[in-house]
Amino acid sequence: MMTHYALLLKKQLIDSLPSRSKGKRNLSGAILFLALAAVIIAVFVFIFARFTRTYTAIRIHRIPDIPARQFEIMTFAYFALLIVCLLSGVSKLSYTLFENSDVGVLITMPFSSADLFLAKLTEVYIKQLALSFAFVLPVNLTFFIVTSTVSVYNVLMTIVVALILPIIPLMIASILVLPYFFLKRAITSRYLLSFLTTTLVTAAFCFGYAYLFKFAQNLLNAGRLASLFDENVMSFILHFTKNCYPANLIANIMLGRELLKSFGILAAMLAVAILVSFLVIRAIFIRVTQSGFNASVPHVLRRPRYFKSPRMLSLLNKELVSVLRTPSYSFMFLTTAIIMPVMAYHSAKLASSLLASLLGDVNIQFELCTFLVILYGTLSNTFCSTGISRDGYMNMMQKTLPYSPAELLSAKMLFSGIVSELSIVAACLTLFLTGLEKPVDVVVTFFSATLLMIAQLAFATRLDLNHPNFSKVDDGEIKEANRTVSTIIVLGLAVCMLIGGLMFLNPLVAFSRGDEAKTWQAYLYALLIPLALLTLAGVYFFRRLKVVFANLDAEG
Amino acid sequence: MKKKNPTQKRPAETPSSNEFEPRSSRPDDSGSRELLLPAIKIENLVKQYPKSPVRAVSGLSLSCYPGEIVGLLGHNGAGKSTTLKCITGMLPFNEGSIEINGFDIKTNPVKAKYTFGFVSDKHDVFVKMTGVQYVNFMADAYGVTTKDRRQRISALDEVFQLGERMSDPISTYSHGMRQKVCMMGSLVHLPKLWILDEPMIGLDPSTRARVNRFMQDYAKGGNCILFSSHNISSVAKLCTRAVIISHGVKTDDFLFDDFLKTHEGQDLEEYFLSRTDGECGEE
Repeated sequence: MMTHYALLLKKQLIDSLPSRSKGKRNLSGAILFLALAAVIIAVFVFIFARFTRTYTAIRIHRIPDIPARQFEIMTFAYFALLIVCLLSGVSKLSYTLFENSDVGVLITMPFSSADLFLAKLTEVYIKQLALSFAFVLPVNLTFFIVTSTVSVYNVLMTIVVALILPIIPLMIASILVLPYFFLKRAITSRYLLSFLTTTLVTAAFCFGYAYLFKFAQNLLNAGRLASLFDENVMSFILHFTKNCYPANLIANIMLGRELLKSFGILAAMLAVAILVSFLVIRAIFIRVTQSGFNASVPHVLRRPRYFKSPRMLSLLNKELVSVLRTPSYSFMFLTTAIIMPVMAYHSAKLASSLLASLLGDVNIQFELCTFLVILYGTLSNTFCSTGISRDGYMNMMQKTLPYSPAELLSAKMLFSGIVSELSIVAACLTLFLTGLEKPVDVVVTFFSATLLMIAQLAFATRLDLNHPNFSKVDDGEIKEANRTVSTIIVLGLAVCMLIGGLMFLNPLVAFSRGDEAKTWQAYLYALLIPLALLTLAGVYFFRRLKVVFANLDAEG
Repeated sequence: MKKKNPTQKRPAETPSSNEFEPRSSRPDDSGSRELLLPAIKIENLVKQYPKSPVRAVSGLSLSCYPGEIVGLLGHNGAGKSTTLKCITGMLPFNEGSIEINGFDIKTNPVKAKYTFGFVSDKHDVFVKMTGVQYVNFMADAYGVTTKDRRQRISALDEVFQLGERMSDPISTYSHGMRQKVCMMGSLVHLPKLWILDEPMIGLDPSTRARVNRFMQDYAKGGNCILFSSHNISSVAKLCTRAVIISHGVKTDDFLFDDFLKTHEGQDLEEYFLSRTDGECGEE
């Protein structure tokens, strides 16, 4: 007979698998995911290999110490992975322990809290393993190849490290999960605070991203990178890596240094972490579960205000309320729209200096800025591809109201359009005011991005109407990207690459011939392609619209 | 251009239709009832879901008149909800026609929709809004003036008693409270026709009693109410007329006064089971 633990673990793993409904496979999403993963890994391997070569050549007081530098690199790499595992573990544990509605049912069944908790912890551990392998394999293999230290021991230890590395952060995560859950509950029930927090965190991430770009740029010039690691920085690194447990122990094991001591301390740390986390969670898990953990919004005594608004404004307000009061939606849509101009500016600034160092005097500012604005604009506007799906059964209720399909759909598109347009205006103004684009160029960039945005809105809304993906959860919130979203991202990227490619080709060909590039050709590409796409999207949108809308069935 | 709102005037304030209403006889038998414009006129309705081999509704004809409270009875999967969804324009149908207060739901859907209010059996819909926002949204959809909505919401709150909780997000409401706010939203434009899908499930006894009284008063005001239910006793207590559906086909349509006269001593539940072959199908 299957033990309770095994039974619960099997249930958890089945729940974790993507739904296998026939004909609903998100092929474009899978391709996009694999392509993005491949690009990220390739870029990471390239930068890490370059960094390893440069860093191991650093000399302190003119004395090279390759083993010490190798230890520092590996310690920092494992430290980064431990932090990622910790953050990811807290989030995953919080969902599976406190936010997933299955707990409410499972605690009424004859399962012990230990079985329940262990099954959920194992499920998260298995998910963390994927992350661990995806990180440890490229790091270790790149490192061993660059440092010419490939051996059977290193390959075996890579697998062992990938298996044990997620355990300690997961144990720490299981202790931090409760405060995290209460903090999250407190923030998410205050919608504006939640929105501001996510926007600020994303902005910080954006600056980190810009910093990484600069770092990569410096890496291309080894001399500039080496100058970053002066005596003070190296002193800090020595001190940090010496005390950075357990990352330094794992680095020691991988490098075959102080094996017995490192294994011993690591084993002791694992045992203590497992014991403490198990005791803590066992003590609180059921109590927290039973105390009722649904997010609650404090009742605020307000005088109800009933007043008439124009019908269209009322529909727009409904869209705004839905986005603002769903933290994931406000992040996906409003936060990305706010961050988009910042991303476009940083990328344009970095890419222009990078291209200037590579190509010299070729003037491709307009092409670069337009490409970046349409690229980020397209990516931040993908939220419109769930306009129908995220309303779920609300679509059906709205069909009973005296609105025409045109009114209902145009309200959704107008809402997305207003936010995206504001984002495009802000991006264009930023590029103009910072001198990255000339006045005429910025006007063309604006119209190009606007035309493309409207085309995307029309196409995505209709595609979503044709193939809605309604969420099965109580509040209808869509938690993961569906086929329509993936398709819109892939198509958006392809269109941006096409426009960008054609625009860049013109000055590069002219440069290779020693001619002056013709700006009007780039203007034509920037305007005519989006205009043609808008026309096609318009035809696609209006074709049999009433019939398809009438057939929309949130339960079918 | 400002659209004409067919419910701008209270139905009760329109020339009263009570004088045309003989309440003691079957609509089919009465010549005088047919003088009224039916609130609902369904002729030969056929609905088949795209992936289903069978018809969910097959050749249903039905007329409901102002002043009537009509209970739509049937076992699970009989076609009650599908019929209501076709009437309200939620779902397209394959054959037949549906007129709501004289407007065809296919050819004149917006005007038809101005004249009815609908309460679905799913209340987890506008959960991100507060009760106030939801009722305002519904009132805006029907073009209800600020003055009218204030008066009506105040009157409706007497029945549904959500009070201060109207300012809270609907996501924090219980099932019953969500149902109440949906009912309020569907009535804010004083529709001539009020359609409800399983309205009594989840309501506490005192609210149910108040809703029953409200429904009876509302129908007396010259409005028509159509609701689906499994609960035979609540239908018997409240309705003036019952329509029984089985396998998408109308198997009976009677006035309760007539039923009591012609089936003296017979239990309504037994009668219902006999008209539905005692089936308990699944949705």
